[in-house]
Amino acid sequence: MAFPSTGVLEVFTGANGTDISTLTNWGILGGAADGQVNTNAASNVSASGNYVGNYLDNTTYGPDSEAFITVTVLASYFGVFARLTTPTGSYDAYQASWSASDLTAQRNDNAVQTQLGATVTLAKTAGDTLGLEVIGSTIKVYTETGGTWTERLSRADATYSAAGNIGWDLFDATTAMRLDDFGGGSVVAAAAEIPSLVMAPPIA
Amino acid sequence: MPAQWFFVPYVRRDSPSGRPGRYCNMDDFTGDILGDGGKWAEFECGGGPGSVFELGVAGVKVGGVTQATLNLILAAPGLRPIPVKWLEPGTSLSIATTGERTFLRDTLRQDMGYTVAELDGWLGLSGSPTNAQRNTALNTKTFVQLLDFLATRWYTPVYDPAGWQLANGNIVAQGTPGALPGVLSCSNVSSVPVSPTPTTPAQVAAAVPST
Repeated sequence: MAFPSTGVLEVFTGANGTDISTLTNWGILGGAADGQVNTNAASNVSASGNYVGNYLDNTTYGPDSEAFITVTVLASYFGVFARLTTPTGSYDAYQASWSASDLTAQRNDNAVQTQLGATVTLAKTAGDTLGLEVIGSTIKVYTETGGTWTERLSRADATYSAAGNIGWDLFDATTAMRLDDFGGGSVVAAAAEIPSLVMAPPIA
Repeated sequence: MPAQWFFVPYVRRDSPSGRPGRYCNMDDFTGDILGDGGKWAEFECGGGPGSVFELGVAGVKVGGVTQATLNLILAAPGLRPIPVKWLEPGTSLSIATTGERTFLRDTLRQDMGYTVAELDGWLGLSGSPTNAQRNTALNTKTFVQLLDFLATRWYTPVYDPAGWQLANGNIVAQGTPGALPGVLSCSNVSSVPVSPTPTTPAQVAAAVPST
């Protein structure tokens, strides 16, 4: 199945300094500060530190669900979450993380990360998109560069199987980082292919 | 190219954001393993306070690597190699040597936080069996059955903001700054275990080539 199966949900349009949580349907991720809109993107400009995170709080998705976000100005670290439960506190979730040139899949248990399997070494460039897909007990991390999505890693983990929220987080020592075009939701299964019927020409 | 199983500790590695985290120590060799065209996969099992593996332990299969890479991994402290002849899940433990039985029955079991009573239960023994009786019972088991026993439970990581922790996982006295703020461990071995494990030994065995 092609990734992603869903579209962009948020482009972070608004006045500079607008708290992300004041945008429609956004909450603050547990243990993180509220992100802010700056230059019509999500930023880690915050009154409470350089680690910010938000999640869509209007509904849960899945359990088969996905999330993705684009980094428009590079910085240290950003990630996306799916099957996120207890999102404002010690949350459980699956996560795709991209820090420096390390791409990993993480499981969060009470907001403590356990890396699933090996690290994939992959440098990021401005404009790249990070994606996470959780279908059944298979967790996949994708990246998109120049319009092309590539599956980067696949891990098996059966810990969390219920529907949950989706969200993102980011960190940098500076406040220059920008993320944009957050999307995701319940995975849309590919439509069954209807075989075409080829009629043989009539016998003359 | 060789393949081998190991029991590998989890090691603390926090997110750049500062959120507490851990990873399987085999990841330190990912570059070497992938460079050979190989791969590794893990299942979580046991560990926690009262065991040797306070941050948890993983059963790991490494495959498709050169002997040089395998030697590199074998030389690393803290990683417990499993006899190579037990590579395949269906291998009978009847081929184990006396030393290997003692390692399984005593060292590995204890290090991973399982009691003698739990071992005896798995072996189908009651009362106060002797080690000779335990060895006889081990002969009837296969390697994957051993792994399934060792994967009977796992413990989720827990984080205590008080105190400090060194990068090697050792706890520094509370109030004395260390490399990592806060203490990361697994939930206590006496607490309610979580079962089943996130990934099973059979899944790991299938995911990594044996040649």
